[in-house]
Amino acid sequence: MNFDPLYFPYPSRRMVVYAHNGMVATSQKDETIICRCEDVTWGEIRQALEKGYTTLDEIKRNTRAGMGRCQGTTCRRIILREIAKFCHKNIEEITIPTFRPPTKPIKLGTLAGDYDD
Amino acid sequence: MIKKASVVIIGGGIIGCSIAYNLAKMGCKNIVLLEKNSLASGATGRCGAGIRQQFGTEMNCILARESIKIFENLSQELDYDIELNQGGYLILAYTEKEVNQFKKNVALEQSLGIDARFITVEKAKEIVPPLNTEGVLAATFCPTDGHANPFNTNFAYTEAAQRLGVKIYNFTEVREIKIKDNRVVSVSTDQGEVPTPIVINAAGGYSGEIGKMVGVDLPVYSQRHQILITEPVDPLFNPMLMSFSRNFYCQQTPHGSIIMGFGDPDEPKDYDIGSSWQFAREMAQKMIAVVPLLKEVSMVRQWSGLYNMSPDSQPILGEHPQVGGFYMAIGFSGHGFMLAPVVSLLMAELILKGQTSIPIDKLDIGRFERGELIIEPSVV
Repeated sequence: MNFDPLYFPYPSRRMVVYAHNGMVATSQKDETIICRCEDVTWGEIRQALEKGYTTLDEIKRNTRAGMGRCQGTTCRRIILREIAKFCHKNIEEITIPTFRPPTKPIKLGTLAGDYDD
Repeated sequence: MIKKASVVIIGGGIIGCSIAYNLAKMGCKNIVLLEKNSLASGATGRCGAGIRQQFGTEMNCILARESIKIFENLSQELDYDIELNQGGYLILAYTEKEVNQFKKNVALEQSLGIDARFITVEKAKEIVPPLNTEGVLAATFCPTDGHANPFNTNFAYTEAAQRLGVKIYNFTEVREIKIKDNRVVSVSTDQGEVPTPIVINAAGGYSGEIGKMVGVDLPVYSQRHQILITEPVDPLFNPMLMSFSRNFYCQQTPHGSIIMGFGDPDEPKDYDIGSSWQFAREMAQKMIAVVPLLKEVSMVRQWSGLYNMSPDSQPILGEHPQVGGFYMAIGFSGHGFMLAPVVSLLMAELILKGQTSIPIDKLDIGRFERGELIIEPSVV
């Protein structure tokens, strides 16, 4: 069986709880990196929130968090939780941005080589 | 919501936000901007981010030249890094017809003070070493063309406008525009109503819908354009690569990722902004033929946005002749981002002073009835 450490099927409720318990303490520091692909720190995300960018889409456009190689697989839930906290809402009430294809990065050569219709 | 506005702008993309900023900068008070989603959620945040001056008509060249001049100082002016990178545009000619057209374009551009040049295939290869020159007959290059970050530029204008007192309402959808004696009197939204003598339609892909609210049929339609972006890689090439006949544009951003797109001529006229695997495959095939190294680079994301097309692929600017106070900055046909700095300045001049420092009267909506279409040969 191929094991891929970056693969998460979908953000399940259990993952959110895990992220909450496991990472909430570290995410309070400004220099903590939240989006590992794009090196976005908690400080940058906090500043975006304080400027009034309180949706995941806006934070993504503002900081590039979630736009890297893993497409937010790691940071999306942490940011969602922080938005919920900042806006005093439940995490379920925060709009999730469109999940864009592909699910995993794919080489252009592989894409171009597929001539099957 | 605010009780009364002097201007209501519909659309929180680059056009709406830059007009808001320029109006406020010229001293206009009580400006309101309405956006039904979040800022830069439409075409601006989805665009290819290129900025070029290489056009085939005098007016487009002048507008683009002045726009670049503003872009060059924009980070300073707005106190926000817009990540401008002037790596040039390398436009490849694959047909004799293109060679002839490009010679004419370059002569025109040079006569207007634009630093464009007609270059040989060898020179093009020097500028972009990984370029596959097979089939390339010649190229044009303008080193001051380039790229800016559309999100940053949009937010830069927004935040500068807010500092000047502009009220911005996100997630506020316009429902109705009220007219009295053929003049705009107020705008109703899902958050309340704002009385105003002036409404600016800057709704991009949805500008036709705004037109219906004042009872006019605007000659624009929307069309999906798809784009994909790769993972960030080491610098491969600096300029935007572009071809009209082979229909592509492709550029490496300062961040290292490579963005590429093309226009599908069979795309239906509607509001679809989905993504298709057929696009990703064709795009990959097109670009690998031009830069073979790209076959090793991975695509991480694809998306699409709406071009707001006009009958002659040129913007429609100015007041509507039948509805007083209803201004339009629409139909940019894929060039809204690159033209926004200059167009917004001219729109603000038009609204506040009644005249503009660069003539834009040829871009009025009446040109279609008069049959005075502007034929721009160099568009994707």
